[in-house]
Amino acid sequence: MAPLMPQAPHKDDLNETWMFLENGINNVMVKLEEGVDMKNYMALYTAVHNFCTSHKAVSGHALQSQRGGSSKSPSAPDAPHKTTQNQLTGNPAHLLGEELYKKLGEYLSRHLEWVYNESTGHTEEALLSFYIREWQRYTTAAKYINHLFRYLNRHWVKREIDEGKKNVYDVYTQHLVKWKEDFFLKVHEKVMGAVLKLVEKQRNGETIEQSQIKSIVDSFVSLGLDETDPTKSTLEIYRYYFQRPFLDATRVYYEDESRQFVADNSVVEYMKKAEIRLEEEKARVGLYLNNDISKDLTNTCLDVLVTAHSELLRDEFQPLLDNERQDDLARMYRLLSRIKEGLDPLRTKFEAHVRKAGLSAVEKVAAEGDSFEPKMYVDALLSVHTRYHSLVKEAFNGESEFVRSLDNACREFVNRNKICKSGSTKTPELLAKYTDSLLKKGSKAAEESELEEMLVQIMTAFKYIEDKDVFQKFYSKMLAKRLVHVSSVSDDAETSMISKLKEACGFEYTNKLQRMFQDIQISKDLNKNYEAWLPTTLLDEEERKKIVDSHFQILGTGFWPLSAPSTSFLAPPEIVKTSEKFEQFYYGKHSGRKLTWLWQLCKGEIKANYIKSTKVPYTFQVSTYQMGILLLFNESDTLTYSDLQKATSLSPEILDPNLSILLKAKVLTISPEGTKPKPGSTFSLNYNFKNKKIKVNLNIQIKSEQKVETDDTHKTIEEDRKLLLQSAIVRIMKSRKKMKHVQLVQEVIHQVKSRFPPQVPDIKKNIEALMEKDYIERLDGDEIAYIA
Amino acid sequence: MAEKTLIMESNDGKKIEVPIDVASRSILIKNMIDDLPEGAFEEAIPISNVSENVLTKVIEWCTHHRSDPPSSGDDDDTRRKTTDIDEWDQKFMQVDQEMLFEIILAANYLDIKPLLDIGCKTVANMIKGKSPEEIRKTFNIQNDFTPEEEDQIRRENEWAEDR
Amino acid sequence: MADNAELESFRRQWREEVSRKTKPNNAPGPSRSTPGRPTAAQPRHFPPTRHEAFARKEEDEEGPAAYSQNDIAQRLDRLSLAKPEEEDAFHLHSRKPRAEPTSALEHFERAVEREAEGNLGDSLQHYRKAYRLDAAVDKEYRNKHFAGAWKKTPQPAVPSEPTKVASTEQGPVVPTPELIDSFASAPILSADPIFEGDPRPPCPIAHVPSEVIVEILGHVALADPAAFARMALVCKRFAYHFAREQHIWKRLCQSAKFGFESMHYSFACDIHGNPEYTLEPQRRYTPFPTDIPVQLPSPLSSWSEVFHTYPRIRFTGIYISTVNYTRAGAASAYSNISWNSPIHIVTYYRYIRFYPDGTVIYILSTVEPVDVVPHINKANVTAARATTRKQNPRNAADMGSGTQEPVPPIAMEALKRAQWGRWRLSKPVSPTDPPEEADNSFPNKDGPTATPDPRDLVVETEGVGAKYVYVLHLALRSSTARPTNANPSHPNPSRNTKLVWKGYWSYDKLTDDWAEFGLKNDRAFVFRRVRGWGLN
Repeated sequence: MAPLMPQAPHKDDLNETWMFLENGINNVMVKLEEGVDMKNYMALYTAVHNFCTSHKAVSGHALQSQRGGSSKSPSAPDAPHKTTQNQLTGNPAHLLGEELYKKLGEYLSRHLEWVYNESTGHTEEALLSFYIREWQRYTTAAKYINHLFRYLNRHWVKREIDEGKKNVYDVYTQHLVKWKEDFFLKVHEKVMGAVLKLVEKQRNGETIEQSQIKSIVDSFVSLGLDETDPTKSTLEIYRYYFQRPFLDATRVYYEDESRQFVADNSVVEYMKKAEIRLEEEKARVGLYLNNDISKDLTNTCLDVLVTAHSELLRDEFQPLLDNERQDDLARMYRLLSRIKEGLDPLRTKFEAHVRKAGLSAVEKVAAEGDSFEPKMYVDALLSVHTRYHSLVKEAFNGESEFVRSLDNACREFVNRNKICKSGSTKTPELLAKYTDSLLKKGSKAAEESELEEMLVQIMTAFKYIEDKDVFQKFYSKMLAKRLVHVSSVSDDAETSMISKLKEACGFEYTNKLQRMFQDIQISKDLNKNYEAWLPTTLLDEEERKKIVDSHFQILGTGFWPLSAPSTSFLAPPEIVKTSEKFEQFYYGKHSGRKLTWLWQLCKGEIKANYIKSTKVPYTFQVSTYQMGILLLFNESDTLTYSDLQKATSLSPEILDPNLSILLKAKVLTISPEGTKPKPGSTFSLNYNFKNKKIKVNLNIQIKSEQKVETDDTHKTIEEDRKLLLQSAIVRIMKSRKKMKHVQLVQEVIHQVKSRFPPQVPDIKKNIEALMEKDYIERLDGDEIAYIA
Repeated sequence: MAEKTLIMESNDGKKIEVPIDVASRSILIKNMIDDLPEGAFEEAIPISNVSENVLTKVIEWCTHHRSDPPSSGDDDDTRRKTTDIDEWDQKFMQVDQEMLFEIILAANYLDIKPLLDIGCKTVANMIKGKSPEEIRKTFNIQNDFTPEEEDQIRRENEWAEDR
Repeated sequence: MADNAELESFRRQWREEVSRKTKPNNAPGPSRSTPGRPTAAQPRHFPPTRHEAFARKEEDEEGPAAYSQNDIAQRLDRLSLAKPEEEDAFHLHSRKPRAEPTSALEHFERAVEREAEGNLGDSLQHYRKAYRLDAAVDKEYRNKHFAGAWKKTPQPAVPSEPTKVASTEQGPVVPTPELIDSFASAPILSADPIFEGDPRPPCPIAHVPSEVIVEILGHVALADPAAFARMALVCKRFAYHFAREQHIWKRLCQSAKFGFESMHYSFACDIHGNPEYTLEPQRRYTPFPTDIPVQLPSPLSSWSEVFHTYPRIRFTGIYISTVNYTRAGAASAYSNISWNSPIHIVTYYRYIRFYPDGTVIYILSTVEPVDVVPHINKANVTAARATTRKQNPRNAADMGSGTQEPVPPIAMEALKRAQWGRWRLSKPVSPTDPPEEADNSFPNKDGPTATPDPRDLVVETEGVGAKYVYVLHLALRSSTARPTNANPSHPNPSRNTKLVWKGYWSYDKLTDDWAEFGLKNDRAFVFRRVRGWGLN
């Protein structure tokens, strides 16, 4: 039932009007649940309207503040307002409403005084319930009253705000301001105390009424008013009165907890605990806090839970690495990645650890002595990389800084370790040899996919090599052999490798390798043409017999890492006819070209018809040199060393080892028996030769030759580097015309470092060399100019 | 379905049934509908400051403008931009001066900002381009200045004459 | 804080100007040699030239005896003051036939009037007739019109002239603010009945509460500030609101139609008036934005004062600069009596009409204001120029309703030579702003890098041929009464109604050359309101 309203007030009488309004407001404030009667609603609104528009309700005080312009109104004595009946009729020029606004404020203060007195009877959760209940009742009423006083809002309040008056708000905001000043500021400590106790209970694992805290948060947020623009709210109040104590309490709580926990548990256990706590706090924000706190709360927790213990955590890093505790490492990464510069020390430690692991793996290989297989070495390198690469991926989230640490460590132990202590060129050499062993016929990796996989791994190691030009040298040498000897395991594998290198180092790096491939292809066609051509030139059967079956490869001098024979050689007459025939064919096709026979790379097969012990005669696979030696025995069963040397014209460095091979295979015998071939030795054909196979391979690489070749390769690398540096210098100068010396050196290093790490003295030496050749000249100052 | 209505009662006791969306052009009524439970409007709403003929006029305006977008609060910007009065409103405002001000007062009381604006603009248009004496004549305002006061004010404000 | 510094400098310059005016300037003629004068405060883009026309300003404002065009215009202002319905100097049909003057004084008055209009030929004739009739006619004129300035005795013998000199004769006057305060609770009273004894006529506005009255006044002010000003003269209540409702003034300051929202501090269009689009629409500078709280600029204490004194271009009328000069003709062989030797009097006018969109119409013509001013608008200019040039950068359809009045041929001739242009006020530079990109507005010699004067105005117009741009450097000044003639009936005139010259150049876009125009005879532009302009 609606309370009985007094008669509508006389609009000119402030006290009458206010008494009427106060009665109505009080009903809204205290007895809203009983409902508001529509007629009362209209009457209250109308009372406000009528008062504001009344013609006579002029109070001297209001007039004064209007006139003087100086606002002393807030503290002005509240003189009893007598309606000034003697005023002229007609409404005054200033807007009315200040009295109502003030009276309303006073009423609210009284009401809140009462609320405060009530609140003192409650503590803890009961206080929270009380606060929330009163807050809801108050704000609901405020919404009503705001509507009832809308006329005041629309004119007097708006005008006051327009004029820049401080401390005047629309009626709803006025309610909030009053609540803040007359109630909130008196109770906020007690309320927050209760809130924090609740939260602590929850942190300790108890179940609490979360919605209470949520309501408190909402209330605090609502009280944040922007002084400059009342239509906007700020989070100032919430931040100051809620957030601050909340964060302080959180800090204290977790400081205590973590200190206690670390004392009683292992670091690994602590990390698990910290992670759970961080998750919980994050969830707490969503459950009942304002999002605004999220960042600060997380930072506070991280500060207390991680930063404060970061030394402890980092000290645990090495043991975890040593024991390969991937999950715990991942946990540590997650925790430390969230604090500032938390991971930096870990990366340093990680890099050192990987380098150590790599070096010790290499040392194990080195312990085998000089006889280790390149494969062992490369596998050792790769296994270390693989292990820590996967750790970075799994535990460290593939984070780029850790990847960089891994790369740094790998580059370090790949180029500088026990095996290559003589120089960083050892690793590329061994890697190239290992690659050769994979790509040469007879490698163990039969499956193509397996092979491809290994090539990929080789590229991983290749990536870390600094002297990439060394790898290129060795690789092309060995590729040349594989091609010349047709000993590649597959063309696909070869091309796959070349394209990988091309991808890693560019076209220039693999240009020659590709040309070598092309030469082989062209040679195939050439042979076909030759075979077709040959019969047309033969005069008779006699001549045809003098031609042996043959296959030729034409290798471009510039592209192949091959050199002319180191010895003179008189080819046996049996093949001379054939070679002459081919030369005739080739020169006819390409006049002006010159063919050089690389006898050291030629090979052939000869049948040992002289041995009668088998039905099918043995076939010897021999080098041309061996062929030259053996064919001499067609004329005589026994020949002296000088006979052989004279007939073949081979130098002793070639002749001797080849004879040794033939002796070892027991194709020939030496006299005196058991000596090494030397001038004065006599050699005889062994008619009692026996072998399990019909085909006997006598074309074996000579050890010493191999060694010489390797040394040669290293020598040519030095030479090539010089050229590379000079061409880089010329290229740079040509485009820049003028340049400071220092800049030039920098630029050269930049251009060349993908091939090898150049030494500054070498660059300077080459600059000098180019000056002597008048490519460039030195100008005044430190400048160098290009001479066109 | 019958349109939801409520009843408004003028201060001279006449009851007028008005659809809710029409009545809601008055922010006073709109707020009250929001605030009070549905059953609160069985009785007529006493519009104690407005007489029947004025209320009828106001309702006519509200009915015409029932589907206008709600005015954007108390902001002045809308008013500042649209200085023109649309044709219907111009015709609507072709009333005697007494009625014009009655409508303005009613709109002010019932909190119908757009109607209040149109009313004020209409008055403003009556003022534009007139001399002070003409303005006085238009509104039957007495010149309450002494000649000295008038002169002093004239001189004080001369700059604003924009010449 | 940057703003404060800027305003500080503004204020300083004002003070300098004031002190300059109060100091008697004894140097006759253009005081171009006075060193250290604040005219050096030219914006940095200007070449270090000092313009004759600008230097002459002192003379215009302070020369006590000179009937410069300027102060005569002021006197005319006063003449028309009492008749607000004739507030517009150039009403469309203002050329009514009038009775010819007969007495010396009448001739003299007519002469002054003509001179103000710029019609020096007519003016000279009237002056001669006047002096012929009465050698002391100037004294009589002064006694009539400027008595208050130097005489304590009013001239009651001139009833036709309702200026308020009389009021100053009364005892101590209540200071205006207090007078206005006394209006605070004044009711609106209904008028007396026409016939005594009748009931008073209904006055419904008397029952309207203040908040609604204020609302109505706000609408009036935004529609036309001058109408708002006239409201203050209706009754005490309105006078009170006029003075005290500062939020109306604030809104007026922020409004686009009359306020500072339409002041451009950088060019808003090219010189043909085509809008310039930039890829990143920058926030246009405006001194009193509506979306953030604004402060009163510190030297000023109210928004009405801001509206009054802050540099502001007006769109409700025309700015006219009248140029008169005499040129001696061939001397007669027979005599050297002065009135027989022919003197050619040359009179021409510069007209500028500003638009809130940043465009300008600029006309240099010998056609008199009465004949051409009412017709200066975009549509007419477009139409007039279309008859001479086939290639027209503007689309006549843009111009809205076109011409309402047929344009007389004489105006058409002037309009044909109208030039499009653009304008901007000097943008106050705050130190935090990034340095402006090279502005080719002026020949950028190493001019003095003084603080820019917010009263400076730049107008760029089309030149002769497409490759020239004419650049006018002007400065807003007030047509204030001279201190030597402190006429009490005129203490509070409009400000910012005069544009003084600071420089005038022709810029060759192809060769990047600047050529300066001499302005030996040029006078400042004076603002005249034109009926109907800027009101819708």
